Amino acid sequence: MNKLIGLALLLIGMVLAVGAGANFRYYEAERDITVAIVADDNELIDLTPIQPYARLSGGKLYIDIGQYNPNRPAWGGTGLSPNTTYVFEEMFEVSNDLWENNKTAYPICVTISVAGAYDVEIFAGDYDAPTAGPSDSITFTVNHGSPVKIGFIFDNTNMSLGSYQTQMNIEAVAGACP
Amino acid sequence: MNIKIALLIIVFMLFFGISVSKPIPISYAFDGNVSDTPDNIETPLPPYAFLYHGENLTIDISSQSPLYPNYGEGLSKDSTYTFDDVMFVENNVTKTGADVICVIVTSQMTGLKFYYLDNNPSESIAITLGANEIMNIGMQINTTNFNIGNASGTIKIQAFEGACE
Repeated sequence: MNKLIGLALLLIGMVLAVGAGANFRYYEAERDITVAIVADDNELIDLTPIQPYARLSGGKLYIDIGQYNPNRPAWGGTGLSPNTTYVFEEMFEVSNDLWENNKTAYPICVTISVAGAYDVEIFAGDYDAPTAGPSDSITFTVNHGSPVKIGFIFDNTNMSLGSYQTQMNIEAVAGACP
Repeated sequence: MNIKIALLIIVFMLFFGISVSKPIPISYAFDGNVSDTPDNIETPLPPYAFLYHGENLTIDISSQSPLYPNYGEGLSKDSTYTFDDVMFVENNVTKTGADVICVIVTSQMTGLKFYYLDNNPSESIAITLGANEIMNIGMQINTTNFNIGNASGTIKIQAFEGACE
């Protein structure tokens, strides 16, 4: 009698095993994601200050020509004067450190635009022979290992004394610029 | 007496078997031995996603990733990144035995969304896959208000037999 029970259980077991193995009904999995949040000069698309007028604060790039910039020496000028135009080459650079470059060249097309009341223009490369700009919005290709240096033009015509701010927007899209 | 007990067990087991298999969930079909790792619906696409210790999909954008090329240590804050083709999901009929499945990918991390084709990124996406169909999935990470340091979370991947609703 015990053998019968054993046989019955074995049969049940086989039926269940076959049943479970043959039909898909449901799948669920939980997977991990980790992202390091780092300063602008270490991330996939680096923004690295080159001149003391550019600095990082809390990981973010600031262009800061004023007395509170921590890079300003004690004797350093505290700003720009009205009715002048200042040109700064190589304020910061944009590099392409996307990991895709490890296998094949993976260029990006970067657009930087400046918007606001303050008349600021930007350019890529040297002022005498810019590869993009000067304009309030420039677009250029960045290849891995070849950072592109960004310069600034501050036009202070008819500006009164005071402090002025504007924002820079940076976008990058996969592929060389068309 | 013994026979009665055996019959009772048989009836119970069959009932159990039917009641479980009919509505929806049973278990995912394993390949061969139970000790084998179940085949996954999702497959990572490098370099930001990979199989952790050869088993589970993991997304790691940090210098700790085995695919870290010694540059690009992570993402910056207050930015939005969109990565095409981080993984693909597949209805491998020899494994699922289903002509149509619905795969649901859900973000369980702040700022993380998924998308496929040209659809807008969303916290949860549902994709219907026919026999042996494959769909690549991209992700968007919005780091607004993130702090410097590691941010982590999980992704839930579910699959049902039948088309998505």
